[in-house]
Amino acid sequence: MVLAIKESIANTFGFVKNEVVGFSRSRMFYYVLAALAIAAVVPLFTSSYVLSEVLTPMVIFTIYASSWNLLASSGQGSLGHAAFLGIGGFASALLVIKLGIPPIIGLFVGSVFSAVIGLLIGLTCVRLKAWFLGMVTFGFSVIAVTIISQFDAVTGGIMGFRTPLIVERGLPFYYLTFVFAVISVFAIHLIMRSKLGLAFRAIHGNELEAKMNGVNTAKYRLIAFVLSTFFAGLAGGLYAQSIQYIQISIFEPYYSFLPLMICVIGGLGTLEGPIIGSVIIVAIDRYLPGIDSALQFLKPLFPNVSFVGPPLRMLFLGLFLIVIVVFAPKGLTAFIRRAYAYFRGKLVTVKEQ
Amino acid sequence: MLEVEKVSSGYGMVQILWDVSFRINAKEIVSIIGPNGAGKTTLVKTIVGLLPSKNGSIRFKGEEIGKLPPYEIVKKGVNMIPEGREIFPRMTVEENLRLGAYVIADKNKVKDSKERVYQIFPVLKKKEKLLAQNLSGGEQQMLVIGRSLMANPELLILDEPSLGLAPIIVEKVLDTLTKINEDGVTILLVEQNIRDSLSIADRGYVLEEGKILIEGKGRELLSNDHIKEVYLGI
Repeated sequence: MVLAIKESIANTFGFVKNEVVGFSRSRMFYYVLAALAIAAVVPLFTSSYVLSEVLTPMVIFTIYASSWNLLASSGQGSLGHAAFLGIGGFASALLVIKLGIPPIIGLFVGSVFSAVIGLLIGLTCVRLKAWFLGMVTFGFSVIAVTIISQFDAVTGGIMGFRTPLIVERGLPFYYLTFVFAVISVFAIHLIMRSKLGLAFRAIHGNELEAKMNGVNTAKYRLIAFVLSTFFAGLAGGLYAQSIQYIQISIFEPYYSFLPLMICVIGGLGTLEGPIIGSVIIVAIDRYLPGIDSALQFLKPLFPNVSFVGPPLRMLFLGLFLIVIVVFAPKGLTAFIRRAYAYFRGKLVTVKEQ
Repeated sequence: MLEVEKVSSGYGMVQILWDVSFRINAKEIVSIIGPNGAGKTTLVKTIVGLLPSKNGSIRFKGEEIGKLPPYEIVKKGVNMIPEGREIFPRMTVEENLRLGAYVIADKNKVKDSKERVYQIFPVLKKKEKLLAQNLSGGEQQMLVIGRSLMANPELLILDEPSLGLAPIIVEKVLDTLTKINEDGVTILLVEQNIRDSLSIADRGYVLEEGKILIEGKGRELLSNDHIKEVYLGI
């Protein structure tokens, strides 16, 4: 009994001795089912604005952040993932317009195209360590936007163009992205569970040790990079469809840092982190402007300050990020797990190993 | 089994090893001893392909391995445990072991070697589902050795396995190494802990300032005048 209390306190404060923090496997299955059910049913009862401006982006950014998370799980970081989001978006739409192939195949080929570019970039730079890779990818995202804006005959230049749709907007499109998100997250789950994922985690944990265990680290870093750019391209293709219009703003640094923010808030290196992170980031992004009107009463006090949406939104997003990094550095996932273990610890005796 | 001939190596422009030659016969325990900065770690890193050798040759079972990348060398049957015995803390004990068998494609073989490792270290079996970070220092050392055995190495190289371990655990580790050696694994032990490592070694080499200075039988080296004076302080 005393032990149980001790253990639960230890869990709450992070001095976890034994592995009791996670959900058990069988329970996890029910949580996943519940989450899927919520994601499948909620859209039926929301307005079309919420559906297309809030829920759909949440699902698409889940794919995007998961792709970034996969890369991070292999010990690599990209600060220019927007390049692959954009390439996927442009390629999948252009293939449909120029070659007349069905949009659903365009989406797939566009993702493959993004992965091929990822392979070429990866070949030159996966040997780079940590931040150097981040800088190279950032540099590439700048190059990509330049190329696309210059080849305006094909790409529509700065103006961009309307994207051909796979299915009608609204519910059908939401369920399409939902299916893709489930497949993507599940595929990434399987990858991380496989021997391939074991190699990624080993490289992430300690590259020297990974090498000494016979892992060809350069090869597996490249594989992680290619897989990640494939899913980023898929997210890009879907994103271009969701806003019905694609232009070079998709290459903006905001979109490069978005998956990083999502993963840090949700929980880096966990499967559910990108999902939780996407829901929170998109919710903040869409609903925070509403605070402006709520703060109107302050206006007389600060006559020179205008309570416009975007700056305040970014301010809050920044603050939120700082709070998370300081108080829950492993993301909300770890925070929730710890809280869960705390409340369970009160009921169940935790056996000392 | 391993023949190192006139190997020079170092980091970039800095040369550390100068024409180092030594050999390890099959089923032997060979110890390379030397003070801090003698080039011991550089030597093992060169053997396993982490550092390029500038000249000379490294042959394993008669085959030149001097230019191969580390993962190819692991496949040939050479396994190195780097200094600091680092486990993968965020992986379970079982996953750590599975990683050790990364070069082995046959799942049954992996299972067999896992059973073998559990036989040598029963405590690992008991804790196989735990994250490796929850193991004690001694258990982590067992895990590291067990992990390196997963690839069924013919030659096991250990860089400073006794570093930072309590004497009683050092003794256990050396005991285990002797047992592993009796099972047919050749062992190269690179150590600063001279007395202990020479006491289990068949032969030993003294490496100083990047050169092999003395060569001899394990216990005999302990009575060598130079070693007595410089290392044992007698």
